[in-house]
Amino acid sequence: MTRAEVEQGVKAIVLDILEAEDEVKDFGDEDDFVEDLSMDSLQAVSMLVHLEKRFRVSLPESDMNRFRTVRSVVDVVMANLDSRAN
Amino acid sequence: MPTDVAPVLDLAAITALVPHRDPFLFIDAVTEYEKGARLLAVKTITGDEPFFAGHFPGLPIMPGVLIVEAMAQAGVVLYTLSMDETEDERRQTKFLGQVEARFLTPAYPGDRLEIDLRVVRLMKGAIAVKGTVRAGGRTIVKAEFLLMQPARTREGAADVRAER
Repeated sequence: MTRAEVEQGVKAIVLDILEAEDEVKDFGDEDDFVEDLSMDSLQAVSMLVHLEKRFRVSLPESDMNRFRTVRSVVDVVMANLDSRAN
Repeated sequence: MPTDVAPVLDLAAITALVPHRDPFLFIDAVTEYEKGARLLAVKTITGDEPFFAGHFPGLPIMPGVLIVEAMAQAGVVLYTLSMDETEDERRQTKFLGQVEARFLTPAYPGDRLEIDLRVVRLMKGAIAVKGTVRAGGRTIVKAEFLLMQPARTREGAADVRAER
């Protein structure tokens, strides 16, 4: 899976999770989930579960601390896909 | 399923684990439990439940959302037992965060709902669950849901039993 594909999948998940927030219409790779997009802990857990399902990876809870932006989530998922491939 | 098997948890044991009470407690017993992995709970629909007065007059059907609620309550039991929660921790309310459900066939008075849950993800403060509810060989509901203990209630703001 390419980085662009992962990024597209991550963005779809983030949008799905945040769609309840009226102010979230669009966001960039560097927008901070908590500070810019007001993501709460429930949504962060939801994201973890959705990422695991979508990309068929196993992510430790400690990775949630690294979920700050779309870019950082893509990094985490890519690292997991790479380690699985090896 | 044989009905004479002694439950893992009876109603009294369940009420020690969840804050819900009649008429909003929708599990009667837990018949199977595997720590951190799965749980089977049952609820017999007697027909005397108050919601049947309105849902629907002359056509009693258990509301699908209440079946999902039953799954969530069983999920709270699964979380509480799997995390070895203390009595204080059990008092802290868990909330449904997200539900994806498919309602396949109606549940009627006389049905014995078998609520079969499997852990998808378990962590401090959250559990993701996948489950199926069956009755008499029919599949009633399939659902995946997330139960959470928001940080603010973990700090003790929503101790429902203490508020009584």
